[in-house]
Amino acid sequence: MTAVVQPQRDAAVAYRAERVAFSYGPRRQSTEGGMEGWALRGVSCDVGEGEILGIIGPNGSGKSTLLKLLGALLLPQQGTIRLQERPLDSFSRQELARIVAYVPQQSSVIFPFTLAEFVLMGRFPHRRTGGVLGGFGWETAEDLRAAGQAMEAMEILHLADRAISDVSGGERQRAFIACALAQAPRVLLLDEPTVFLDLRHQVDICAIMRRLNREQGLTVVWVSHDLNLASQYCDRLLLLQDGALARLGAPSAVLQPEVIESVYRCPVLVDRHPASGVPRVTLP
Amino acid sequence: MMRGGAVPVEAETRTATEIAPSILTSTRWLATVSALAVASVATVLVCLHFGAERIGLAEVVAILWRAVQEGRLAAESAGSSAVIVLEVRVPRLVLGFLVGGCLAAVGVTLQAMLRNPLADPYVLGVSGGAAVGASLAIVTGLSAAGAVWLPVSAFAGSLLSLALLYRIAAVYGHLSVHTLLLAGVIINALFSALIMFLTSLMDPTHAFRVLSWMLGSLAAPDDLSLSVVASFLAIGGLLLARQARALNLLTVGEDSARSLGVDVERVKRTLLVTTALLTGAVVSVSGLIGFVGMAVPHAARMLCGADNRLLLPACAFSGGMFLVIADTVARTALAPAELPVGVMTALVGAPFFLYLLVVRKGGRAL
Repeated sequence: MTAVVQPQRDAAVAYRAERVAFSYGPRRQSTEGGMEGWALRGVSCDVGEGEILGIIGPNGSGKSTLLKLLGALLLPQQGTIRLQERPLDSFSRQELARIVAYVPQQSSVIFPFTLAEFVLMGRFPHRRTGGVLGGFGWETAEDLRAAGQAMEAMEILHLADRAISDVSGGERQRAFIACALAQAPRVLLLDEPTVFLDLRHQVDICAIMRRLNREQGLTVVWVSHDLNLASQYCDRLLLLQDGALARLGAPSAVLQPEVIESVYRCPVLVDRHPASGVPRVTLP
Repeated sequence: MMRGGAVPVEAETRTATEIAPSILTSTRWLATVSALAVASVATVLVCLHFGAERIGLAEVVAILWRAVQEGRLAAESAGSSAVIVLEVRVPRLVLGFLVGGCLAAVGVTLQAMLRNPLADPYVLGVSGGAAVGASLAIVTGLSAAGAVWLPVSAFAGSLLSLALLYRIAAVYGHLSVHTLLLAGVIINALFSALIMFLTSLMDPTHAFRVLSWMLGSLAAPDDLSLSVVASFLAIGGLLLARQARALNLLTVGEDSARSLGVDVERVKRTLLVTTALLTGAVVSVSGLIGFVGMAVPHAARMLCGADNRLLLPACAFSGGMFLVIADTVARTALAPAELPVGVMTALVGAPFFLYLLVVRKGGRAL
């Protein structure tokens, strides 16, 4: 990917976060205005509609926390987040689930749902409600179609009747992503989606992400440890350091050797990818 | 996603038909539930014919048929066999069926909510809390004021212990299988001490009744307590059924459920109150009956999968059958002496529990 898409000033914005701060523990704010112990310390950023944004940074820099805040799984103690120009906390859970899908970091499922049943859970926000047994509602043909398509895209259709508690880590990871795709979201939030996958499935997931992004304008926010995958597939990168924004911009602007060295505290070599020309980070 | 004409229509319908056999459909739901209902009726009929007095299966059916035709009161004059069946065995079997079904349904719900395949209302101390509530009602004389007060105080007790359990789980974030069981052991120890303390305050006849009831018994329910419990159960069952699909999502994790549009806090509150309601009702009439809530869901999951929409009714039926059979064995094995049914379920359930804990390492549900 050579052309870098910068959201223009008047282009549609999916998310707008302003001075967002979050702390897991009791909020400590010393009189000097320091924010020790906060996971995020006043991060402001935009996510453009139809953009692929990568969130990168060292361990404990607040990447997953920022993603959970965007998914309204955590509520910021300070600052505001707006989705499609509306405050995030003004959406009902169901409204939000029809727009935003979230794929958690690798997690296990203890109960033996079949993979097909698991992916169908993604259709929950599209269920019909009401009636005495409102929560009981059977999946419609449309639900089955969406789940089947998502499973085919993730190449797990042949595993439809296997128990999710029994499949390999990579297969489970693809099932989680298929579940999110079945949700038919406008925004996809992914927490380290490639971490347990082999090379081919890493590339596959990135390619599918990009295809959905290009064909349907799906907005993708993606937390990644892999700087090179992020560089290849993201329009912009957001670099976090100790809960604060270190850099936000095109991969070529963020993946500068001196920036990476100071944030990750580790010497690196940055050159150009021979085929795509995007920055490539390696250890010396 | 996948809207628009990017994929041919034939391919779309193909993928839909391809996953259909791997999911729970309303057809499979209906078939399984009807089969279990038929099996339940058969089990109850067969168990009616066992007992100290031998009454043939054909006679049991004839007595029931006459009772249905003529009404229960008219049937009373129809001989000793009819009295034994209608006045002694039927109420006891109905109670056993309701209690077993409830304990299994509560077990499934707790397992899903706590994401712990070994959760059981007895093992985790929820039943113990209900027993403390019920004992308090007896000591204070509240239970004498009306049939409704015993289940209500038992409900309050189990709600309290569930809240305690959930508070402990919340402190640790996600509690591991074993830590949660350990917390249950401690809560149980506390509650048994409290019950012992309360019984020592009672007069001896009361104390004896409470102690024998603590072992779990289905003997001699009166019509009033039967109907109070049945109405608790009807309300609780409906509330659980309404949340079945949300419960599926909760088993995956709270963040996942939340991002799929479940109002997690509200659903959890509803489920906690409902499980406390059911446990309270059950304990107030039958005392402490253990392991039904853990063993039955495991067997039911092997039979019909993990979807709680089917698992809940399947557990209600199989839990009912399990307890009715256990109680029949308990009252006939050493006839004319009777074993408390809680002894029977523990004899079967505890080794199974150990097997799951040790051999299967408790980490994965069947």
